[in-house]
Amino acid sequence: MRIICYSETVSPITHMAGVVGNEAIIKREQLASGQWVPSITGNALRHRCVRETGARYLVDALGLSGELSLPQLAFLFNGGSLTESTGREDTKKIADLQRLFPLLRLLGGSLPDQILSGTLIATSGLLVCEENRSRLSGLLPDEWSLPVDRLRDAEAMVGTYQYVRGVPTKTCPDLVRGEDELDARGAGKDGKSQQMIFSGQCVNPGAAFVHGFLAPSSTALDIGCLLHSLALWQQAGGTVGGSAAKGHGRLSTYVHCDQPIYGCVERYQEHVEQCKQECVDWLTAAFAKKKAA
Amino acid sequence: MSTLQGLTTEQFRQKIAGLIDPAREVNQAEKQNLKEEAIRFLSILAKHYALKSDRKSLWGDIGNVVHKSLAKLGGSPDLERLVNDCLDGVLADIAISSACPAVCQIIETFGARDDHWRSQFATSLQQHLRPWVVLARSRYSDAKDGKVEL
Repeated sequence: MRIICYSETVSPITHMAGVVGNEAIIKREQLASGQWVPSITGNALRHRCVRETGARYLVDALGLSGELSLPQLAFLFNGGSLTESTGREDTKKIADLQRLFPLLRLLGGSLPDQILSGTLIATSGLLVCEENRSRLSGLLPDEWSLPVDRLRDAEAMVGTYQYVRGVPTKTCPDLVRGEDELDARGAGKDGKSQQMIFSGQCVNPGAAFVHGFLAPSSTALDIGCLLHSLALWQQAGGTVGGSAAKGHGRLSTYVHCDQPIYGCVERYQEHVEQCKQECVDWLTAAFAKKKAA
Repeated sequence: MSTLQGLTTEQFRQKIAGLIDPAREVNQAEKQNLKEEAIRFLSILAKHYALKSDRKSLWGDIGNVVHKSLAKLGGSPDLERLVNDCLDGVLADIAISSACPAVCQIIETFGARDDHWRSQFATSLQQHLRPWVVLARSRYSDAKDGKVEL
């Protein structure tokens, strides 16, 4: 099963590689031609589009909000980590997980005593630009073929943003305590202004990324889970990268599946409802503290 | 729960149409021409600089004036506005600049070009301002020595 997404950028995309000085630099991939093209990592897309929304749905559906330990939450939301010194392979535990949790069958994760592999393969988000033409042609379905006309260059879609973090003497001077009073420029006792200008690069609104999910040997439940998570992600704003609180990172996504998907989402929701207690019991047992020998 | 959206072939074509480059590709000869014209433009500004009497900060001021003027231009191909803002920024005397053949030539050169070239000029100047100011300084020095025409 192959799901391809065409995601239009609705707001500036600030999926960053790091910070130089006080300027944030966007993530880029180097092509064989030597050019560096903005991209969104498969890791980020997998997390934001599938794991985060899928795990939140599970926690809500299983009635586990406020009931989970940190290791359990880390397992569901971030993949967990191997913390016990003696690893082992518990086949029954793996089989039960695969039967009960399509989300974890797709994504895998790490229990305290064993690592569980996932089946889902997420591709990087490829910017729709001339430099990426050959890579896009390899990923896009036949129905979505690229035109022969030249696409815009990647750099034409990269812009910048700048913000200023204010200071209380400017925004609410009437609330400042007497002895902490700052001068009218917002300067502290050392005389330096506390206003902070920060800026960075972004992929401009109106650009588009193509990304996809390959789910080999997937069942209808797996596909239902994947599509359900993607729909929840879109419903929640469809954000990737940083500064979502400032309105950045919004993608409007269109999906293409290479197989019929009718009823998959409903079947997944029914499955979660039916296996609710078994899922809760499995999570409790998998993270139960071992008795001292 | 909202469902995911799909795209028909036609809808996809319409989406992609917005990402097609409306401009033709700039070849090497055009890039070189853009560079030469930009350096010439910067050296002409030096001749008409009247911002400060001592001219010690001449090239720094020109860099700042051009940077600000390009920001105000905002990607528009209106290079006459750029010339106006830059001459205004260096406090060029209108009477002197109106009598300057170099200023007249550069305005005519910009006017003879198409919108694509003008946009490329503004973009290239913005992206290469600092090295081109360095080269303009050298060109202006040569012009003063009579080695090249301003």
